[in-house]
Amino acid sequence: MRHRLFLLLTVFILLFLLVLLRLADIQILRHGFYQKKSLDQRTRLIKRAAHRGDILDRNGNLLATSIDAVSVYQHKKGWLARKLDQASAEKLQAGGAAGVSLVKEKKRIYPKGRLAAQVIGFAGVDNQGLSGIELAFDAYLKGKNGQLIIEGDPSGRQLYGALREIQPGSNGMDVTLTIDENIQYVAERELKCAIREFKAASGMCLVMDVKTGELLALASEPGFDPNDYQQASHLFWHPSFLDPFEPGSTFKIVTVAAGLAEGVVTTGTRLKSMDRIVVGGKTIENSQPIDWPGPTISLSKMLERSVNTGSVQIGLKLGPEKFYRQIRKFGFGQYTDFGLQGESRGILRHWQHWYKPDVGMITFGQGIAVTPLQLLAAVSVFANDGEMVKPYLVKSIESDDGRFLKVFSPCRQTVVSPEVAKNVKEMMRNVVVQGSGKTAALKDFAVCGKTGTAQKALPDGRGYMKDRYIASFIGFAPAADPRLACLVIVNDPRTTIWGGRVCGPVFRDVVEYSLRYMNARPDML
Amino acid sequence: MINFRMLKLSDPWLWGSAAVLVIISLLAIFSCTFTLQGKLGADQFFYVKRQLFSLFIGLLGLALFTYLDYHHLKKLAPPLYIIMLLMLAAIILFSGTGESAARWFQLGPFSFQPSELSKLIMVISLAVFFAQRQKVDGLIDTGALLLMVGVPFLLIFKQPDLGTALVFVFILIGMLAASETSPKLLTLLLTPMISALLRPLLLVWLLYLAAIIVILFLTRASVWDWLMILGVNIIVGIAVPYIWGMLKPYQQQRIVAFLNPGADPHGAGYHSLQSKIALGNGGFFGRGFMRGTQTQLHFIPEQHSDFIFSVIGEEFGFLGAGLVLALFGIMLWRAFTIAAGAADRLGSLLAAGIGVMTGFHVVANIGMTLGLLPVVGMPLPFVSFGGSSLIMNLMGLGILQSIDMRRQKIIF
Repeated sequence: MRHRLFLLLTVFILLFLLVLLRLADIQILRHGFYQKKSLDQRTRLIKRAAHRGDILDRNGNLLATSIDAVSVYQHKKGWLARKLDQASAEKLQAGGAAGVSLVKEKKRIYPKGRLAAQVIGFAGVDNQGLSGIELAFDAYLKGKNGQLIIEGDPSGRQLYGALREIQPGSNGMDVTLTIDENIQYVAERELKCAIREFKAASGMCLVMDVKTGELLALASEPGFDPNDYQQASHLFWHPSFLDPFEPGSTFKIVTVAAGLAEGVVTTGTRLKSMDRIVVGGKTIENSQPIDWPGPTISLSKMLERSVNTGSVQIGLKLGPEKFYRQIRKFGFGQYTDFGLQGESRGILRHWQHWYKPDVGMITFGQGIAVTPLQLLAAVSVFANDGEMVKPYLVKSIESDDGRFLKVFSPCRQTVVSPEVAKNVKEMMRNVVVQGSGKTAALKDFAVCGKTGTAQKALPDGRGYMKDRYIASFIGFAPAADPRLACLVIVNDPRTTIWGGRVCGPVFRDVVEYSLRYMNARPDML
Repeated sequence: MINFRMLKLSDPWLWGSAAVLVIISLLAIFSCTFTLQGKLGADQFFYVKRQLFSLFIGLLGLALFTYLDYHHLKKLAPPLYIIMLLMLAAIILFSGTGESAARWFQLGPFSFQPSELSKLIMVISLAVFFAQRQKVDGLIDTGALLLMVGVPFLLIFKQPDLGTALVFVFILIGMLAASETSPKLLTLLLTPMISALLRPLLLVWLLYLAAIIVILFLTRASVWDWLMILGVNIIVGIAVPYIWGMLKPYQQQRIVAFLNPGADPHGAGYHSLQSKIALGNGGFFGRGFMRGTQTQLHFIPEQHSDFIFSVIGEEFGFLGAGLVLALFGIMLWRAFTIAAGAADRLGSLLAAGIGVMTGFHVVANIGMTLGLLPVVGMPLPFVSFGGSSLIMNLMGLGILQSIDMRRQKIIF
C-alpha cells in the first residue's frame, strides 16, 4: 500500500510541476504578450479637440466661439452622439447600453447667426476649419489637440479615475477681424432689400475703410447660418466676392485715369460724340442714345453719361501696351491677398494676347474680369490722392496667454499722381451730382462714384447673354476727406437693370449709416 | 470536552498551510468584490464577512472531526451515504428545471451546497467500503462499487454539475489505486475512460483499441479478460455520442471551447482567455493587492469563486500563485505521509481519499484557469469563495488530523 501511495503522490507532484511550468510560461515568459492584451482590451485612445480660438469683430464682439459640450462615447461602438448639452448627454448615458462614458468637448457656435457667414465660414464636428476665416486661419485657430485614455471593463464601464489626459494640447488663438458687425449688419440688410425689390439672383456689398484698407463689411447674399451649415446649399457657403466678374462701366474710371496718367488725354480733351464705333471689326454701341447737343463731349461728361464710344476713344489713344500697363498698376490681374482662401486674380490677358476689339471693350469693363476686392482697392487710388491701399480682413491674431500677437497694418502704394487722382475724383463727383449716379447722393456728405451695368458673359465665354446684367455702383465719401469706399453689386436684377437705379440706393443707405456711425465730418452745406 | 494537548500532537504543516491559504483567499475575495459591491452601494466587506462566517463553522467542523476518532466513521458511513442520496435527490426534485437549476439549499440567510459535502461523504463511504475488504476483485465487489459511485454520480450529473461528477470519478480511481486493487480491475475501469476521451477522433480511437488488443496479446490475458476489457471499451465508444447528446448545450460548449479557446473570445472560450490575460498581466511580482486591472475591471464574471486563482496570479504575480501551489504541495505531501503512517487500513484509505480529492480539485481548478483543462465548475479548496466548499475541506482536514494523531495509541 505504501508503494501505491507513493505512486499517487508522485503523480500529483508531476501534475503540479506541469501546472507550475504552464504558470511560469504565462506569467513570466509571455508576460509582455498578455500585458499588451490586457492593455488593449481595457484602454481606448480618444482625441480631445483643443479649445478653438474665437473670431471677433474689430470691436471685440464675438462672431465665432466655442462652448462646452458633452459627447457620449461607447467603449465598443465609438461615438454615440457628439456635442450635446450636459442634461441630454446624461440622459443618453443613463438610458443607453452599458459602457457609455461622457467626454467633454468644445462645440463651435456662431452667436450672430447668418451675419457675415461667408466671411467667418464654419468649422466641422472635429473643430476643423472648413471655409471662410475658419479655414484660412485654421492653423492659428485650432490649437493643438490633446489625447485621452479611457480605461474600461468589458462592458465599457470606466475604471475608477481612469480617464487620463496623456497629451494636454494647447488652445487656439483668437482672430480679430477688421469687420464691424454693425456696418456688416446694415450692408446685409440693405443688400437683401435691393435683391428682393429688383427680383435679383444675388448680390454683394463691400465696405472698406478707404484710408487703411480695412474691410468693414463683406456682405454677400444669399447667405446661410453657419450654426446649421449643412442645411444650406454648398453654393451659398462660397463667398462670391472671391470670384471674378466683368465690371462694366465702373471700369471707365480706370480707363480715364490711365489716359490721364499716360498723358494721351487731359481734363480739357473733347471726345467725339458717336453712336457707334468699330474696333478690330467689332461694332461698339452706346447703351443709351445721344441726347446732348454738339459733336463732342468732355471726359467728365463721358463718365457722367457712361458713354461707351467715348471711353473706347481713350483706349484707342492709349493702345494695348500702355493701357495694359496702367491696368496692372491698379492691381488687376493680381491677388489682393486680403485674407481668405480661394481668391481669384481675375482675368486679364497680357496685351500681346489681346484680341483686336479688346483695347476698346476693356475700356468699359467688358473682356476683362476683376474681383470686387480688386475694384474696391482700385477706387481707393482716387480717394487717397493717387495711393492705393491693400484691402485686408484680419486685424490681429492673439494667443490667450498673450505670448503670441500678430497685428496686420495698412499697406499703401502710389499708382497715379495726386493730380490725376484729383481729376478723376472730381469727375466721379460729377457722376453723382449730375450723372448716372444721382441715386447715390447724400444730403450731408459729398459722394464720388460710378455706376456699372455689365452684360453677363455666357458660361462658355463666347459672347454675352441677352437681357442678363450685373448692376453695380462703386464710390467713396465724403469727397473732402474720404473715409469709406463701398462697392455694391447686384446680379441679374429683373425689374430694372441700371446700376444707378439698383445699386445707388444701397450704396447711399449703407454709406450714410456708416459715416454717421463713424462720426465722419459732413462736408456739405 | 476539548483537550488542548491535542494541538501539540497535530500536524503544524497541515493546518499551517491551510491557514496561509485561507488568509490569501480572504485577501483575494476582498480585492475582486469590493469595487462592484461599492458601485452597487452594498457592503464592501459582504463576501469577506460571509466567508469568515463559513470559516467559523468550518473550524467547528475541523475541531469536531479532529476530536472524533475516525473509527466512528465506520458506523456513520451508511447513514451519511443515505443522507447524501436524499439531499441530492431533493435538490433535483425541488429545484427548477433548465440551465438555471439551483445547486443550493436555502436555509434562511444561508445557502448550502450538498454536492460539496457529498464529495467528503463519498471519500468516507469508499474508504469504509475498501477497508472492509482486503482486496476488491471479482464481479460482485466491482458491481457494488460501481453502483455505490454510480447512483450519486448520476444524481449529480442530472443537476447538472459536471465538475462534482468528475470529482467522484477521480476519487474512485484514486482510491482504487491507493487500495490494493489488481491492475486488471484498474485496467478494466481506466481504459474505458480513455476510450470516452478519444472517441470523438474515430481513427485515433480505433488505433487505441488496436493498442489494447496488442497489450492483451502480449500479457497473455485470459479469454474472459479479453471479452471484458474489449467489450467495455467498445460499449463506451458506442455510448459516448449518445451521452454527448445528453449534455446540456453549455456543457458541450465548454468542452468544445476548451479545445480551441481563441476561436470565440466572447463566447465559451472567454473565461479561459481572460483568465490567462489576468495571469499573464500579473507577471512575476504581480500588479499589487487591489491593483490588478483585469480583476478590478471584472473581465471575468464571478471571479471570486472558481477563478480566484487568476486574481491571486494577477495581483500577487508568479510569486503568489507559486506560493499557493507550494502550499497545496505541502498539504498533499502531508496527506499521503499520514496515509502511509496511519494506524490501520481505514485511516490510510481515508487520508489517501482526502488527499486525492484535494489534489484533483487543485489540478483541475488551476489547470482550468491556465487554459490547460476545460472550464468546469470546480472550486479551489480553501481559497474559492463558497461556504460549503470551505467547511467540507476543513472537515477533511480534521479527519486527516484525527488520523495523524491516532497513529500511535494516544491516551487522553
